Formats: sequence, C-alpha cells, structure tokens
Amino acid sequence: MYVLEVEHLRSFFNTENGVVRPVRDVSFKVEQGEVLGIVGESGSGKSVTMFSVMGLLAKNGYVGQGRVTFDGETLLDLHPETDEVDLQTLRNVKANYEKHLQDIRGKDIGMIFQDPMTYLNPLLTVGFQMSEGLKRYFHLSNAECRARNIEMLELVGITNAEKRLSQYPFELSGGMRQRIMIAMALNSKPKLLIADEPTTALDVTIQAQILELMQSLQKKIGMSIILITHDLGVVASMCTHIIIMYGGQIMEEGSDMDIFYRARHPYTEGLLNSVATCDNELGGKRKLEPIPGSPPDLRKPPQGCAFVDRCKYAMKICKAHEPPVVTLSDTHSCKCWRCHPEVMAMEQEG
Amino acid sequence: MVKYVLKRILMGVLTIFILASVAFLMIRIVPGGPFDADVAEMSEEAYRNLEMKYGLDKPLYVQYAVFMTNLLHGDLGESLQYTGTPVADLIGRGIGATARLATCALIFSVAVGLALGISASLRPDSGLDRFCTALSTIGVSLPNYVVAIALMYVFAQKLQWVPVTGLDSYKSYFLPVIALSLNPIAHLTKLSKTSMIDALNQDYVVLARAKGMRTGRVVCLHALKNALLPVITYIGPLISSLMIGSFVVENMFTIPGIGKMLATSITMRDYTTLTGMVIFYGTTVIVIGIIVDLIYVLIDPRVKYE
Repeated sequence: MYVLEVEHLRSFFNTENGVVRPVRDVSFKVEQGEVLGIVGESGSGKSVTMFSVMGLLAKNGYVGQGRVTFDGETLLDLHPETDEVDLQTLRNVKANYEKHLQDIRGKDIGMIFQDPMTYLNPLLTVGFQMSEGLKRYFHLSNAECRARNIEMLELVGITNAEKRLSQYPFELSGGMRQRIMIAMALNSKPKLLIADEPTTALDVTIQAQILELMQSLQKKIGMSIILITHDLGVVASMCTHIIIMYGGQIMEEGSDMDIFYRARHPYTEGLLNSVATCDNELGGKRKLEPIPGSPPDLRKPPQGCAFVDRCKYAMKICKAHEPPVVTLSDTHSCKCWRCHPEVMAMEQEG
Repeated sequence: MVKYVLKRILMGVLTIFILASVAFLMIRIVPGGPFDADVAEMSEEAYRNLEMKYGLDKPLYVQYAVFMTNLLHGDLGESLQYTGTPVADLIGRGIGATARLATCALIFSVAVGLALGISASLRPDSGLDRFCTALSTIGVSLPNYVVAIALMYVFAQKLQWVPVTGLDSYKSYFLPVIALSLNPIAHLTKLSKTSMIDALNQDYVVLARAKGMRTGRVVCLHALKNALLPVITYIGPLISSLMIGSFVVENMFTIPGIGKMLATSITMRDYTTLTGMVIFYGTTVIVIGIIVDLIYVLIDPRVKYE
C-alpha cells in the first residue's frame, strides 16, 4: 500500500527571465512506514518537487503536469496535450488543487522545514502556533490543546514544556525551535512527514539528536517520511529507499544498499566521492573529489542528459538524446545511457 | 518597563520647557505686537497701560521669568486677542471640533488605506493594484487645500449635497475628513501594500499554510500581524499631524477648531495663545509617541525597553 504516489510531475516558475522548469517528469512512490530520501545538490529540484506536491509553490509557481495520489485518493490528475503554458488554466488547476489540499495539509501530511529561525511566526507564542492545527482539525478546547502540546513537546525532548508554550520563538535556541517545528508537524499524527533539509541549519551535535528523534518518532507513530537533503550521511543513517535528483529529474533510484554499494550513475558516484570520511575501506587517506562545473540552466533544459556537461564518461549520444530509465533490479533503476543494455554490450565488445 | 515610561515622561516634560522657551522667544523676535492693529485708535497712554497690564513693558528676561513661573503652576496666561479669556479655555473650546475631525480622518484613512493596501498585495498587477499605485502618487503630491477647494466646488457648491462650511451636522464632516485623509490614505496604502507583500513572502507564511491554515487566516493573522508593525510606526506621527495639520483645512471650512485658532494667533501676534498652543501640541506629540511605543510592546514581543 502506497501512502503517496507521484507520477510524471512537471512544475515550472513563470519568471521575468522566462519559464524555469525545476521539476521535469518526476515519478516516485512512498510505501507505508518507509523512509524515503531525496538527495541532490541545491537547485536539483528536490524541494520544489515536494513543494509542488504540497501545493506550497510561490505565487509564480505552477504544476504543469502530473498525477498525485495520496492514501488512495487522487488529488491531482493533469495531462495537458501540449507543452505550451496556459496560465489561466493552470491558475484554475492550482486553485482547485489548493482546495483539496487544505483539508489534508497539516492533518495527514506534516511538513518540517530547513530553517527553524524563519519558519516560526515571530509574533505568536509557541503554544498558539502549536494549537492552531489541533483546533482546526480536531476541534479541541484550549485546555485539551495545552495538554496535547505539553505531551508532544516532552516527546520531542523539550524540558520545561509548560513554560515553553508561552514563550516566543526568539526566546528559544535553533535546536529547540526545530524540535518545536517537529512537534507541531506530528501533533496531528500524520500518515506522512515531509522533512525538507531538517538538519541543514543546525550544528552537528544537534543534527544527530534531531535525526535520532525523527527515527524514534517514526517507529512510534508508524508514519512514512520523505527526507529531502543534500547530505548523503544523513540519508545513510535513516533511509531505506533513496532517490538521487539532478537538473529536475530522477537520476538514480534504489535501496540504501543499491545506492551506497552498487551506484551506477556518474552523478551518484560523484556525490559519494565528495563525501568526507575519516577512513575508507582501504584504510588509506582519500582526497575529496568535487564534481566540476555547475547545474544546468533550467530555463533551457538540455536536450540530452542533464548531467552531460559535468560527466566524465559523457558520450555523443548523451548530448543528443535523453537517456531512458533503465531498470537494474526490483529496487534499482538508473537514468543513464551507460546502463542501457545495448551500450553495455558495445562497451564489452570494446 | 515602568522605569522606561517614567524616563520618557521626564524627557517629555523637559522637551516641553525647551519648546515653550523657543516659542516664547520666536514670536517676540517677529516684528509687530499684539495691539498694533488698534494703535491708530488708541492714545499713547492707553497703549502704555495695555502693555503694562500684560507686562509687555518689562525687559524680556523678566517676562520670561514670569511666563515660566506661571507655566510651572499650570497657568498658560490670558489671551491678548480675546482679552480676559484664559488660553486654556480657548484651547478647551476648540479642541472638541479638532479632535472629532482628526478622529474621523484617522479612522477613515486607516480603514481605507489598509483595505486598499492589503487587497492590492494579494493581487499584484491587477486593476486594483494599479489603481492603488496611481492613488498613492496622486494622494502624496496633492496638497490638502487643493483637494479641499475641489471638493467644496463639486459637492458643496455644484451638487449641494453637503454644506460648504461649519461643523453643524454629520454631513459637514464628509468634505474636511476626505480632504484631510487623502494624503494619509496614499501613504498607508503604499506602506501596507509593501509590508504585506513582504510578510506574505516570509517562511512563516509557508509553515502556516503547511499546517493547513485557510488562506483567510494566513493573510489576516500570520501575515497581517507582522505587516502592521511599520504601519503603526507611521500612525503615531499621523495622529499628531492630523491634529496640527488640520489648521489649513479648518481655516478653509471655517471650522472652529484649535487649528484655526493657531493660525489667527500668529497673525494677531497673540503671544500667550501661541505659546500655549505650541505647548499643547508638543504635549500631544510626546504623549502619542509614548503610547505608540507601548502599543509596539503589545504587538511585538521582541521589543523590550530598558
């Protein structure tokens, strides 16, 4: 049973400098109780994908195509015949999608964000911000909200919970604010938690604590998690299934073992090589290998593979044609010409 | 907090005394005196008697000492223009009309300005947004006396919907209130629009939506509360300027407020009334300033006065 199914999602931003396409045909599924990691560098489209699904895109952002099914219910089913952008239709679609989502967001899907410093409202108390969702969805009284909030704050490891409720965000530390944001998202016991770089803005010791906390809560509540991050270390410790995104597309997808031990895509390889480790398997010191170059301009997405300009294995075909998604095993798939059976055969022939 | 307020009040009192001294000196430096108009009909002796009665024959420092002693006792003196009437009574008589006018203009301009600004912020580049931009430009550049004349001509003289002058019925409020409000509406529309757009783009708005809050609540609570801070900063000085700045409008519509009184006290060289008025206005500005600072504390928990 899948909690969330996303098929052929495309989004774009209508900007002064033209149409930007940060999400280009992305499909994935999240199983119940699964922790899915979406990994990629800045601008790879990982956050925009989830913001599109959540209907939280900025005013100039639209979902142009795709099907989103949550908990068996299809929320969005949009398959335009042309690639042309018709703003009026898309605005209507967006408004319609928003209506569907307004009864799901915050209840069945919780979301936590990157920067706990800016995502909490500075003028409202912690208690007020935590109670809003409870009042809206569960019609709890003030006293009931209070009891639930205290219970939740204690669950995420905040001491002095009662006092914290009447405090304002500026009176709390970054780690504490992130815990509060998590408590807020979990208050309604959601089926799915989307965590958009939840540890990026925190220092390393707090990072570890927050990840541990998320893991233990996931087991307790039994929800699914989508963890968006650029940090492979975070993914390794938490996720059972991993998606590698680049240039608005999924480059490689597989189980944690597939990605860390059997990676096939040059971009995944590059990401793994640029992770700092204390020692490698050979026991020797290894130099960090950055991936040269920068991500493609998504105003004019490349005709062939998005990664071609930075790929050390690039072939002629990579520039001319977009690679197909090649299934390597039940769990593992890769969008690269080098994985294509015919190319592999040719390589073997030399 | 209490300490801060006490300090502000103390500073305020000091400011008032400096202000009173400056006003006292300035009006006496200006050529001409309070009884110049009547000099032709008066004998030399009568003029001397008048000067003696009000102490104007004494050296300046003596006059100043007497003025300050009286001020410390809360006595603003007698008007030189309406002889025998205490300045405090004059202000008391006029303050009602001015305050009513200023209150109406304040409510009207805040309501209209915020409504326009917020609606425009929600629909950028719409017809309403363009209207607001045009209104802000026109409203800022048109002086209120020009607006007043135009309004009087169209609505009072041509259409005869409302009386031209006075402040006798509720109908008489329309024109002066609109004339007074146009400029603040322009400022408030622009200010609330920009600060609202800024607030709507903040991360906490995304979180509020992610929590499942409905659009109305996100806009009216999460964004608006933050967007109001700069608006309140503007409203403080606006109240003072509506009280003081109304003198042009009061004059044009012959409304018996203190604005009109201030204008005549200058032309008539009514020393006591003028200094009294300056002290009154100064006190108003200072008191409103303190109140606005306190409102700030109520809205923004991050503001703390030491």
